[in-house]
Amino acid sequence: DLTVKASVGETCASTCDCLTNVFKKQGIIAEEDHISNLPDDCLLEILKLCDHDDLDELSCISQRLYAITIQSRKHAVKERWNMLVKQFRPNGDRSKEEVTWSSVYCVGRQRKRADIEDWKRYVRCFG
Amino acid sequence: PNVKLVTSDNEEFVVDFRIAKMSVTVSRLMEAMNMSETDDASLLSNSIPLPNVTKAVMARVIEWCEKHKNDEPKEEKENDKRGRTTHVVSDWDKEFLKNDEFGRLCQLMGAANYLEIKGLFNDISQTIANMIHGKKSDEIAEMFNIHCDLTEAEKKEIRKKTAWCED
Repeated sequence: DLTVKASVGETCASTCDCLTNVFKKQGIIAEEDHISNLPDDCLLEILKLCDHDDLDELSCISQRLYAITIQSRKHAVKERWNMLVKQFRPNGDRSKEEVTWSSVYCVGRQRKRADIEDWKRYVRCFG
Repeated sequence: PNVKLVTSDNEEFVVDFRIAKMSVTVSRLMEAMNMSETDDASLLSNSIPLPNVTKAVMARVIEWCEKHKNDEPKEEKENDKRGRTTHVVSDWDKEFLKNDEFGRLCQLMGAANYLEIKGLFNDISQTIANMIHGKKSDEIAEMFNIHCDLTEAEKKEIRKKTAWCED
Protein backbone atom coordinates (compact mmCIF):
# COMPACT_ATOMS: atom_id res chain seq x y z
CA ASP A 1 0.00 0.00 0.00
CA LEU A 2 2.72 2.39 1.00
CA THR A 3 4.58 1.89 -2.23
CA VAL A 4 1.46 2.63 -4.23
CA LYS A 5 0.84 5.84 -2.28
CA ALA A 6 4.43 6.87 -2.67
CA SER A 7 4.35 6.43 -6.39
CA VAL A 8 1.07 8.31 -6.68
CA GLY A 9 2.53 11.13 -4.58
CA GLU A 10 5.53 11.18 -6.81
CA THR A 11 3.57 11.59 -10.01
CA CYS A 12 1.54 14.37 -8.44
CA ALA A 13 4.68 16.14 -7.36
CA SER A 14 6.28 15.81 -10.76
CA THR A 15 3.14 17.05 -12.53
CA CYS A 16 3.05 20.04 -10.21
CA ASP A 17 6.69 20.66 -10.93
CA CYS A 18 5.98 20.61 -14.63
CA LEU A 19 3.17 23.09 -14.21
CA THR A 20 5.05 25.45 -11.93
CA ASN A 21 8.06 25.36 -14.18
CA VAL A 22 6.10 26.86 -17.04
CA PHE A 23 5.77 30.22 -15.29
CA LYS A 24 7.92 31.74 -12.58
CA LYS A 25 5.27 33.59 -10.61
CA GLN A 26 2.18 31.99 -9.16
CA GLY A 27 -0.93 32.57 -11.24
CA ILE A 28 -3.28 35.21 -9.85
CA ILE A 29 -7.02 34.82 -9.82
CA ALA A 30 -8.11 38.17 -8.52
CA GLU A 31 -11.65 38.98 -7.53
CA GLU A 32 -11.46 42.51 -8.73
CA ASP A 33 -10.35 41.85 -12.27
CA HIS A 34 -13.20 41.57 -14.69
CA ILE A 35 -12.29 38.53 -16.69
CA SER A 36 -11.52 36.16 -13.81
CA ASN A 37 -15.24 35.79 -13.21
CA LEU A 38 -15.91 34.82 -16.81
CA PRO A 39 -15.67 31.13 -17.68
CA ASP A 40 -13.18 30.06 -20.35
CA ASP A 41 -15.99 29.40 -22.85
CA CYS A 42 -16.99 33.06 -22.75
CA LEU A 43 -13.44 34.26 -23.18
CA LEU A 44 -12.91 31.85 -26.06
CA GLU A 45 -15.96 33.27 -27.82
CA ILE A 46 -14.51 36.77 -27.50
CA LEU A 47 -11.08 35.70 -28.69
CA LYS A 48 -12.58 33.96 -31.71
CA LEU A 49 -13.58 37.45 -32.86
CA CYS A 50 -10.05 38.82 -32.49
CA ASP A 51 -7.34 38.76 -35.14
CA HIS A 52 -3.75 37.59 -34.75
CA ASP A 53 -2.41 40.98 -33.74
CA ASP A 54 -4.98 41.28 -30.98
CA LEU A 55 -4.19 37.75 -29.82
CA ASP A 56 -0.48 38.60 -29.75
CA GLU A 57 -1.19 41.50 -27.44
CA LEU A 58 -3.55 39.47 -25.27
CA SER A 59 -1.12 36.59 -24.91
CA CYS A 60 1.40 38.60 -22.91
CA ILE A 61 -1.06 39.99 -20.37
CA SER A 62 -1.52 37.06 -18.03
CA GLN A 63 -0.99 33.33 -17.75
CA ARG A 64 -4.65 32.56 -18.18
CA LEU A 65 -5.03 34.72 -21.27
CA TYR A 66 -1.85 33.22 -22.70
CA ALA A 67 -3.28 29.73 -22.35
CA ILE A 68 -6.60 30.76 -23.89
CA THR A 69 -5.05 32.59 -26.84
CA ILE A 70 -3.25 29.38 -27.73
CA GLN A 71 -6.58 27.54 -27.79
CA SER A 72 -8.32 30.16 -29.86
CA ARG A 73 -5.55 30.22 -32.46
CA LYS A 74 -6.66 26.80 -33.57
CA HIS A 75 -9.12 28.47 -35.91
CA ALA A 76 -6.36 30.10 -37.92
CA VAL A 77 -2.98 28.77 -36.96
CA LYS A 78 -0.13 31.16 -37.28
CA GLU A 79 2.63 29.13 -38.82
CA ARG A 80 6.34 29.73 -38.48
CA TRP A 81 7.83 31.44 -41.51
CA ASN A 82 10.38 28.71 -41.97
CA MET A 83 7.57 26.23 -42.49
CA LEU A 84 6.58 27.93 -45.71
CA VAL A 85 7.59 26.82 -49.14
CA LYS A 86 7.84 29.55 -51.70
CA GLN A 87 7.49 28.59 -55.33
CA PHE A 88 8.37 30.66 -58.36
CA ARG A 89 6.97 30.80 -61.83
CA PRO A 90 9.35 28.75 -63.86
CA ASN A 91 10.39 31.49 -66.28
CA GLY A 92 13.95 31.45 -65.06
CA ASP A 93 14.22 35.20 -64.61
CA ARG A 94 14.65 35.66 -60.87
CA SER A 95 14.33 39.43 -61.00
CA LYS A 96 10.72 39.03 -62.11
CA GLU A 97 10.00 36.29 -59.69
CA GLU A 98 6.54 36.36 -58.32
CA VAL A 99 4.71 34.35 -55.80
CA THR A 100 1.56 32.82 -57.11
CA TRP A 101 -0.75 32.55 -54.15
CA SER A 102 -2.13 29.26 -55.22
CA SER A 103 1.39 27.93 -54.99
CA VAL A 104 2.07 28.98 -51.44
CA TYR A 105 1.78 25.99 -49.21
CA CYS A 106 2.48 25.27 -45.68
CA VAL A 107 4.13 21.92 -45.23
CA GLY A 108 1.36 19.40 -44.88
CA ARG A 109 -1.43 21.92 -45.00
CA GLN A 110 -2.90 24.51 -47.30
CA ARG A 111 -4.32 27.60 -45.72
CA LYS A 112 -7.68 29.08 -46.53
CA ARG A 113 -7.85 32.00 -48.90
CA ALA A 114 -9.21 34.16 -46.09
CA ASP A 115 -5.77 34.03 -44.53
CA ILE A 116 -3.90 35.22 -47.57
CA GLU A 117 -3.44 38.71 -46.15
CA ASP A 118 -1.50 37.11 -43.33
CA TRP A 119 0.50 35.08 -45.78
CA LYS A 120 1.66 38.16 -47.61
CA ARG A 121 3.19 39.43 -44.41
CA TYR A 122 5.14 36.23 -43.99
CA VAL A 123 6.32 35.97 -47.51
CA ARG A 124 7.43 39.57 -47.93
CA CYS A 125 10.56 38.98 -45.92
CA PHE A 126 11.27 35.65 -47.52
CA GLY A 127 14.20 35.06 -49.86
CA PRO B 1 -49.48 34.45 -20.01
CA ASN B 2 -46.76 35.57 -17.61
CA VAL B 3 -43.85 33.75 -15.99
CA LYS B 4 -42.22 34.59 -12.66
CA LEU B 5 -38.41 34.70 -12.54
CA VAL B 6 -36.61 35.01 -9.21
CA THR B 7 -33.05 36.36 -9.11
CA SER B 8 -30.26 35.64 -6.62
CA ASP B 9 -31.22 38.65 -4.50
CA ASN B 10 -34.83 37.40 -4.28
CA GLU B 11 -36.25 39.94 -6.66
CA GLU B 12 -39.23 38.72 -8.64
CA PHE B 13 -39.59 39.60 -12.31
CA VAL B 14 -42.84 38.89 -14.10
CA VAL B 15 -42.25 38.53 -17.83
CA ASP B 16 -44.20 37.43 -20.85
CA PHE B 17 -44.02 33.72 -21.68
CA ARG B 18 -42.46 34.50 -25.05
CA ILE B 19 -39.69 36.50 -23.43
CA ALA B 20 -38.97 33.78 -20.89
CA LYS B 21 -38.74 31.32 -23.79
CA MET B 22 -35.88 33.32 -25.33
CA SER B 23 -33.59 31.92 -22.68
CA VAL B 24 -32.77 28.28 -23.38
CA THR B 25 -32.06 27.72 -19.68
CA VAL B 26 -35.41 29.12 -18.53
CA SER B 27 -37.23 27.30 -21.30
CA ARG B 28 -35.68 24.01 -20.17
CA LEU B 29 -36.55 24.68 -16.54
CA MET B 30 -40.14 25.44 -17.49
CA GLU B 31 -40.34 22.17 -19.35
CA ALA B 32 -38.94 20.31 -16.36
CA MET B 33 -41.54 21.96 -14.10
CA ASN B 34 -44.36 21.10 -16.53
CA MET B 35 -45.18 24.75 -17.13
CA SER B 36 -46.89 25.41 -20.43
CA GLU B 37 -48.31 28.44 -22.19
CA THR B 38 -51.84 27.07 -22.12
CA ASP B 39 -51.81 26.02 -18.46
CA ASP B 40 -52.20 29.25 -16.47
CA ALA B 41 -52.37 27.47 -13.10
CA SER B 42 -48.89 26.00 -13.60
CA LEU B 43 -47.49 29.43 -14.50
CA LEU B 44 -49.07 31.09 -11.47
CA SER B 45 -48.04 28.53 -8.92
CA ASN B 46 -44.41 28.18 -10.01
CA SER B 47 -41.52 30.57 -10.25
CA ILE B 48 -38.14 30.00 -11.94
CA PRO B 49 -35.14 30.46 -9.64
CA LEU B 50 -32.09 32.02 -11.30
CA PRO B 51 -29.37 31.93 -8.62
CA ASN B 52 -26.60 33.15 -10.94
CA VAL B 53 -28.24 36.41 -11.99
CA THR B 54 -28.66 39.56 -9.92
CA LYS B 55 -31.53 42.03 -10.06
CA ALA B 56 -29.62 44.76 -11.90
CA VAL B 57 -28.34 42.39 -14.57
CA MET B 58 -31.72 40.70 -14.99
CA ALA B 59 -33.37 44.06 -15.66
CA ARG B 60 -30.88 44.69 -18.47
CA VAL B 61 -31.39 41.21 -19.91
CA ILE B 62 -35.16 41.67 -19.95
CA GLU B 63 -34.79 45.08 -21.59
CA TRP B 64 -32.77 43.45 -24.38
CA CYS B 65 -35.25 40.58 -24.73
CA GLU B 66 -38.23 42.97 -24.93
CA LYS B 67 -36.59 44.67 -27.90
CA HIS B 68 -35.70 41.44 -29.67
CA LYS B 69 -38.76 39.31 -28.92
CA ASN B 70 -40.01 39.51 -32.51
CA ASP B 71 -36.65 38.80 -34.16
CA GLU B 72 -36.23 35.86 -36.46
CA PRO B 73 -33.61 33.45 -35.16
CA LYS B 74 -30.56 34.32 -37.18
CA GLU B 75 -26.80 34.25 -37.01
CA GLU B 76 -25.20 37.09 -38.88
CA LYS B 77 -21.51 36.77 -39.40
CA GLU B 78 -19.07 38.57 -41.61
CA ASN B 79 -15.49 37.84 -42.51
CA ASP B 80 -13.30 40.84 -43.12
CA LYS B 81 -10.32 40.63 -45.42
CA ARG B 82 -7.93 39.62 -42.66
CA GLY B 83 -10.03 36.60 -41.79
CA ARG B 84 -11.44 38.18 -38.64
CA THR B 85 -14.96 36.99 -38.03
CA THR B 86 -17.42 39.56 -36.75
CA HIS B 87 -21.00 39.35 -35.59
CA VAL B 88 -23.30 42.03 -36.91
CA VAL B 89 -24.39 44.21 -33.99
CA SER B 90 -27.46 46.32 -34.74
CA ASP B 91 -27.53 50.05 -34.00
CA TRP B 92 -30.01 49.58 -31.17
CA ASP B 93 -27.75 47.00 -29.54
CA LYS B 94 -24.71 49.24 -29.91
CA GLU B 95 -26.61 52.03 -28.18
CA PHE B 96 -27.84 49.58 -25.53
CA LEU B 97 -24.33 48.41 -24.63
CA LYS B 98 -22.55 51.71 -25.22
CA ASN B 99 -22.78 53.10 -21.71
CA ASP B 100 -21.82 49.92 -19.88
CA GLU B 101 -18.41 49.95 -18.36
CA PHE B 102 -16.32 46.85 -18.86
CA GLY B 103 -17.12 45.19 -15.53
CA ARG B 104 -20.84 45.42 -16.14
CA LEU B 105 -20.47 44.08 -19.67
CA CYS B 106 -18.73 41.03 -18.21
CA GLN B 107 -21.55 40.50 -15.70
CA LEU B 108 -24.07 40.80 -18.50
CA MET B 109 -22.09 38.36 -20.60
CA GLY B 110 -21.96 35.90 -17.69
CA ALA B 111 -25.74 36.16 -17.40
CA ALA B 112 -26.29 35.75 -21.15
CA ASN B 113 -24.07 32.68 -21.04
CA TYR B 114 -25.89 31.18 -18.05
CA LEU B 115 -29.34 31.95 -19.46
CA GLU B 116 -28.22 30.85 -22.93
CA ILE B 117 -29.48 33.84 -24.86
CA LYS B 118 -27.38 33.50 -27.98
CA GLY B 119 -28.15 36.86 -29.58
CA LEU B 120 -27.29 38.90 -26.50
CA PHE B 121 -24.19 36.80 -25.91
CA ASN B 122 -22.94 37.42 -29.46
CA ASP B 123 -23.62 41.14 -29.19
CA ILE B 124 -21.62 41.45 -26.00
CA SER B 125 -18.72 39.29 -27.17
CA GLN B 126 -18.48 41.38 -30.34
CA THR B 127 -18.60 44.59 -28.31
CA ILE B 128 -15.76 43.40 -26.06
CA ALA B 129 -13.75 42.16 -29.06
CA ASN B 130 -14.14 45.61 -30.61
CA MET B 131 -12.87 47.17 -27.38
CA ILE B 132 -9.79 44.94 -27.51
CA HIS B 133 -9.14 45.42 -31.22
CA GLY B 134 -6.11 47.53 -32.01
CA LYS B 135 -5.10 48.08 -28.39
CA LYS B 136 -1.68 47.38 -26.85
CA SER B 137 -1.34 44.80 -24.11
CA ASP B 138 -0.91 47.31 -21.27
CA GLU B 139 -4.01 49.20 -22.38
CA ILE B 140 -6.00 45.96 -22.41
CA ALA B 141 -4.62 44.97 -19.00
CA GLU B 142 -5.73 48.32 -17.63
CA MET B 143 -9.18 47.96 -19.18
CA PHE B 144 -9.58 44.42 -17.79
CA ASN B 145 -8.02 45.46 -14.49
CA ILE B 146 -5.60 42.53 -14.72
CA HIS B 147 -2.52 42.23 -12.54
CA CYS B 148 0.18 40.77 -14.72
CA ASP B 149 1.46 37.44 -13.40
CA LEU B 150 4.14 37.02 -16.06
CA THR B 151 7.77 37.99 -15.58
CA GLU B 152 9.46 40.32 -18.05
CA ALA B 153 11.52 37.40 -19.38
CA GLU B 154 8.38 35.35 -19.99
CA LYS B 155 6.73 38.27 -21.77
CA LYS B 156 9.77 38.62 -23.97
CA GLU B 157 9.71 34.91 -24.73
CA ILE B 158 6.00 35.04 -25.66
CA ARG B 159 6.59 38.11 -27.85
CA LYS B 160 9.38 36.23 -29.60
CA LYS B 161 7.19 33.21 -30.17
CA THR B 162 4.34 35.21 -31.66
CA ALA B 163 6.35 37.77 -33.63
CA TRP B 164 5.73 38.36 -37.29
CA CYS B 165 8.89 37.86 -39.25
CA GLU B 166 8.91 41.38 -40.68
CA ASP B 167 8.84 43.02 -37.25
